[in-house]
Amino acid sequence: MKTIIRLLVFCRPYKLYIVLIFLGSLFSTLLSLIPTYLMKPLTDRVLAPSQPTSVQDRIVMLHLLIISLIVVQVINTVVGSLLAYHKGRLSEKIGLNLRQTACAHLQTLSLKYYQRETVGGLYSRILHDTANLQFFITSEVLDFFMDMVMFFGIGAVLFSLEGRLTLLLLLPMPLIVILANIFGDKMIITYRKLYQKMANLSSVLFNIIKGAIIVKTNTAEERELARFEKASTDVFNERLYNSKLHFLFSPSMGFILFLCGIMIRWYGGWKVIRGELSLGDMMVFIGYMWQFYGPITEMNSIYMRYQSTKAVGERVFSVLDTEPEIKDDPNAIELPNINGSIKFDAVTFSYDGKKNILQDINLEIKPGEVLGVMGPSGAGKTSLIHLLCRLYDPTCGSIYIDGHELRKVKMASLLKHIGIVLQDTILFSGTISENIAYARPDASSIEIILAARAAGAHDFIMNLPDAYDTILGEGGAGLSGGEKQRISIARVLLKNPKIIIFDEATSAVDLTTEEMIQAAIEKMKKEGHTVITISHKLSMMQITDRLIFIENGQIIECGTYESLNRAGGALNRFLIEKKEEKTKERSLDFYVL
Amino acid sequence: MFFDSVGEGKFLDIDKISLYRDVSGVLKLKIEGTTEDYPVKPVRYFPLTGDEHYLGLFIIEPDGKIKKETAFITDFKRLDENSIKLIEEELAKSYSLMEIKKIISVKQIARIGFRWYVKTDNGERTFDVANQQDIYMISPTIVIAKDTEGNKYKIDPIKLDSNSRSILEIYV
Repeated sequence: MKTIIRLLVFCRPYKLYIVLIFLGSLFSTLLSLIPTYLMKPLTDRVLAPSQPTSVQDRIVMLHLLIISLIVVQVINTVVGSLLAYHKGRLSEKIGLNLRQTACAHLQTLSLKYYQRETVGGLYSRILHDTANLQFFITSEVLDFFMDMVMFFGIGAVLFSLEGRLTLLLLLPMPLIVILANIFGDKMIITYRKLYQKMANLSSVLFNIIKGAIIVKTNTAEERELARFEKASTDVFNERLYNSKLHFLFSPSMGFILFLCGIMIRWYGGWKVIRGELSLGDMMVFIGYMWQFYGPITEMNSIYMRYQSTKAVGERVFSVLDTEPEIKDDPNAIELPNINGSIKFDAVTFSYDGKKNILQDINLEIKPGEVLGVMGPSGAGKTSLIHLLCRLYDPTCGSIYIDGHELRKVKMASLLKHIGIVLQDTILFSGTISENIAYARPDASSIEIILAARAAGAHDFIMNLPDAYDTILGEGGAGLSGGEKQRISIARVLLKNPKIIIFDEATSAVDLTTEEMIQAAIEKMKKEGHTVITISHKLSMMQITDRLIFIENGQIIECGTYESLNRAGGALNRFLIEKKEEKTKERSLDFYVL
Repeated sequence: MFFDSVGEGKFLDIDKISLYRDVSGVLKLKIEGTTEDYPVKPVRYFPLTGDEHYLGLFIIEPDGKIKKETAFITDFKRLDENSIKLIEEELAKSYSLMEIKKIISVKQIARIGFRWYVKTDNGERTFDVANQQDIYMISPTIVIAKDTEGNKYKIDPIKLDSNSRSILEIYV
C-alpha cells in the first residue's frame, strides 16, 4: 500500500483531472448497469407479462425499451471514448513526471552510485519500470475504484430484489480472499526475481552492444551469446513460473464462481417455480450476477498486478530514495573567482572505508603551475582528482582551493572552475560545435573556432563534410581517438576554467595529437591556468614545472623532472621498469606474430 | 569585430585583402604589400547553421582536400564589391542546398532504402536515402536529408505542412 501511496504523490499535480476522470468513470459504470435492469420490464411487462396487457401496449413498451437501450449505449460509447483518451493522456503525463523525476534524481547522485549500479539496470528502471507504474496508477487503480462501485452498487440492487439469493452470491468471498493471499505472496517474490533478471538481461545486452568492437576483435561472440542466452533463459524461466501461478489462480477462481452460479440458478429457478420470484427478477439477477462477479475477478487480477507493481515500485523508489553522498553544506558559499592555488592537507581517502587509497597526502600547487602526477596503476592518482572535483569527500583531512575548503563551497560553483580531459573521451550525439560548446552552450561561433584552433582540432574539423556542423555519431563515432581527444580539449578550453586536469589524456593518442596537447598545456600555463597532468608518459612529464610520484597512496617523491630523474629514486626505478615492460611486450608481440 | 587573420599566424587588416579570378578562372587572394597571390576557396565554418558571413579562405590540394587556411574572415561583406561577388559565386557552387517545402510520400524500397517524393524550392524531386541515419536534425529548424548520391536537402520542420511533418517525424 505504501508503494501506491507514494505513487499517488506523482498524481498530485493532476488531481482535478483525476477527479473529472473518476466522475466520468462513475457515470459510465452506472450507465452500464441500466441495460441489465431493463431486462425486468422486458420480461415481466413485454415478453411474459404477469398481468393481462394489450398487444399494442406491449409493442409500445418494447419500442420504448429498445430506444432506451440504444440511447444508453450511445451515451456510454461516447463517454467511454472520451474517458479512454483522457486516461491515456493522464497516464502519459504521470509517466513523464515519473521519468523526469527519476532522471533528475539520478543526476544528483554521486559517482559511487554509478559505479555500484549497472547501466542496463538503470535503463530498465528509468524507462521500463516507470512505464509499468504509469500504467498501473492510471488504469488499474481507477479500475479498482470502479470495480468497488460496481460491487456495492450491484450488491445493493440485488439485495433489494432477493436477499437470500444475494447472500448465496457472497458465499465464495472468504475462499477468494484466502486464495488471493496465498497466490499474492508467491507472486510478489516471483515478480521481484523477474525484474531483477530482466535488469540483468538489459545489462548483458547493453555490454554486448557497447563493447561490440572488443567482442568482435576477441572473437568472443559465442561467449557473449552464451551469457545472453543464460540471462534470457533466466527471464524465460521466471516468466514461465509466473504464468503457472497466474494460470493456477485464475481457473481456480473461475471454477469457484461457476459453482456459485449453478447454485444461484438452482435456487432462483426453484423460487420462480414456487412463484416467490418473478421471471424478470430472476433474469435481472442472473444478468447482474456476472456483473457482480466481474469486479471480484477483476479486483483479484488487479491484486495480482499490484504485486507486480509493488516489485517495480520498489525498484524505482530505490533510485529515488538513494541520497546523494556528496551534498552541498547548508552554509556552503559560491566559490568566487580564483587564482588556482590548491592545497591537500593531510588527506586520507578510502572508497570502501576499509582500504586506504590515499594516505596522509600533503600537497600545495601554486596558481599557474603545471604539476605532473606519476605512479604505478592503482597508486591513487585518479582518486586525487576525484577528490579535487569533489566526486568524493576525503575520509580525513581537507582540500582547499584558494583557501576555500571544498566542503564549504557549492559543488556547482567549484566545478565551474575545473576542466577535465579524460583518457576515454566522452562525446555526445550532436554537431561538433555543440560538443565543443557543451559547457558553454551560449558560446559564439568565433569562440568555438578559437577553442578548436587552440586544441589543434580546427584543421581536421574543416576537412569534415559539414565542418563545425558535422553530426557526430554516438560516442563520437567516425572520429579517431586523437580527433576525439582534441575536441574534448577544445571543450575544456572554451569553458576556460582556472584549473585544468589531464587524466591519462595522451595514453591512447598518436604522436601528433600528443604534441598538440603539450602545446595546449604550454599555452594554458602562459595564460595562468593551474594544470595537473596524470600520465605514464615521459614526454608529458618533461613539460611540467614539478612532479609528484605516488605509490601505495602516498607521495614518495616530489621535485622537478630533472632532479627526480637524476636522484635515481622511485621515479627513476619506475621509468626503468616501464621501459623493460615495453621491451618485453615488444618481444612477446614478435613471438605471437 | 574580433579579428581577420591571414596565414602564417599573422593578423591582417581586412581592408588589405581582395579577391580576383586569374586568366584560367582560379579564384586568387591578393594581400596588399605582398608579391605572391594565393589560389583559394571560400569555405564556411558552419555551412548549415551558423552565420553565413563567417568564412575561411583555404588553399586547396589537387584532390580537393583543404590544405591550409589562409584567411579567417568574420564578415566577408566588408570586402570590396568584386570580392564579395566572387565569394558569393563560389559559395553558391559549394553550398546551394535545395530546400524541401513539402514531403509528398516516402516509400521503402528493397535493397535501396527509402524513396522520397518531395516538392522543393526547385520543383518536384525524387531521391533515394540509404538509411535512417542519413536524415538528421541539426537544430529544431534544420533537418538534413542526404541522398545516395551525396546530395543534401535542407528541411525546416516548422515550415512544413502537418502531413509532411508527420512523415518526417518517422525518420528523425
